[in-house]
Amino acid sequence: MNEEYLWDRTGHTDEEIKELEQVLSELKYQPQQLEIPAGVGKARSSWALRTLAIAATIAMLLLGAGLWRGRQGSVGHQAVNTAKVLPTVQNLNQETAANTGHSSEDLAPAFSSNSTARRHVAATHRSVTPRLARRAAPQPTANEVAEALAAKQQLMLALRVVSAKLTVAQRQTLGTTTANQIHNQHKIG
Amino acid sequence: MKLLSHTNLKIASLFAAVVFGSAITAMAQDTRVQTSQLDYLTAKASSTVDVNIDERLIQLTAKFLSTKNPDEASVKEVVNGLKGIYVRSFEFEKENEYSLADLESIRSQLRGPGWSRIVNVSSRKEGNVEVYLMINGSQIGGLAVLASEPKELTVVNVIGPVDLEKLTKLEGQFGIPELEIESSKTKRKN
Repeated sequence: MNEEYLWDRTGHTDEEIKELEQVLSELKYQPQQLEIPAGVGKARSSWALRTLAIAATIAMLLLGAGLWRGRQGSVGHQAVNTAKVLPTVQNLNQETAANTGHSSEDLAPAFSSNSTARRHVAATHRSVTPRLARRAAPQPTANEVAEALAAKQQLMLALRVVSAKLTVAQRQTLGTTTANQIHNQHKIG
Repeated sequence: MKLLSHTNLKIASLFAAVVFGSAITAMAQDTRVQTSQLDYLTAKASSTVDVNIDERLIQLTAKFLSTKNPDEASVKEVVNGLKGIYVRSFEFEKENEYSLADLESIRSQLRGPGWSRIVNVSSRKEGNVEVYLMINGSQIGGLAVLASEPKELTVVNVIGPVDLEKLTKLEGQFGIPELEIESSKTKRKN
């Protein structure tokens, strides 16, 4: 057997090889033009697909935003209305009332009524599914509620002082006929 | 190239936000009246009031004010939009515990740009009350009150848009009892 024929098809050809070549020639590569089947038409306009995709995305976003907003609202209702926090708030009110001489209801009317709080809690339980409730953002802690109530006290005190001083100034300004020495300096306008 | 321009746009937006934020902060700082120099009076005073409520606390407190209750709603309306409320008040047993320099240290800050003294009341009975407003364009950006009596010194600083009329009307409403200054003075006189 001449091995050179196997490499570059030169030299003596073996009969056996020729036979093999003939048998396998049917399977060799036949260059031919690509034929597109008649059933396959031109792809549909990508414009329509894009519009559909955009519309679907917007719909998903709106749905997500709606769910998120609903959840936020429910969490807002839950704030400071838990049975755990209420006693703390009431204690704080009572303590502050004892210190300031005001009634605890005056100090924190938003939390003074248990029935109001219970209504909030009931509304919360109705509006929040257990699944959402598990995922809900952490509620205000007792410390945050205490901070808010203390700030409320401070705010009221500050407003009382401001209002009193402005009232004095207003009264003195209006009573210009008295012997007081009053100077109004209207620099505005 | 397009990506680069987008990045530049983002950086520019961020920069603008930082500059805007800094300007707002600087404006708020200018409106804030420093009272730390009066700290030493705390030891001399028989009673003091020191209230420091920043914007965060105001917003937090506003959540606890009901809009259904008219009194609370009026308070909420007054504090809505405020950036801070600061009050320092000292009451002394003896007269002349604070000095003129203390008053001047407050007045000098209120002579700064933007501040206008709208009222200066001098009364033998009720002492002196000076009311200053910070004017930003056509809006009130802050309020300062300096009230001095022989035995009392009060500095009030409210930052943000203040409605003076509503604020004055608050006295006697929910949680803000009338101080009855007039009647107490009369009693003292008798």
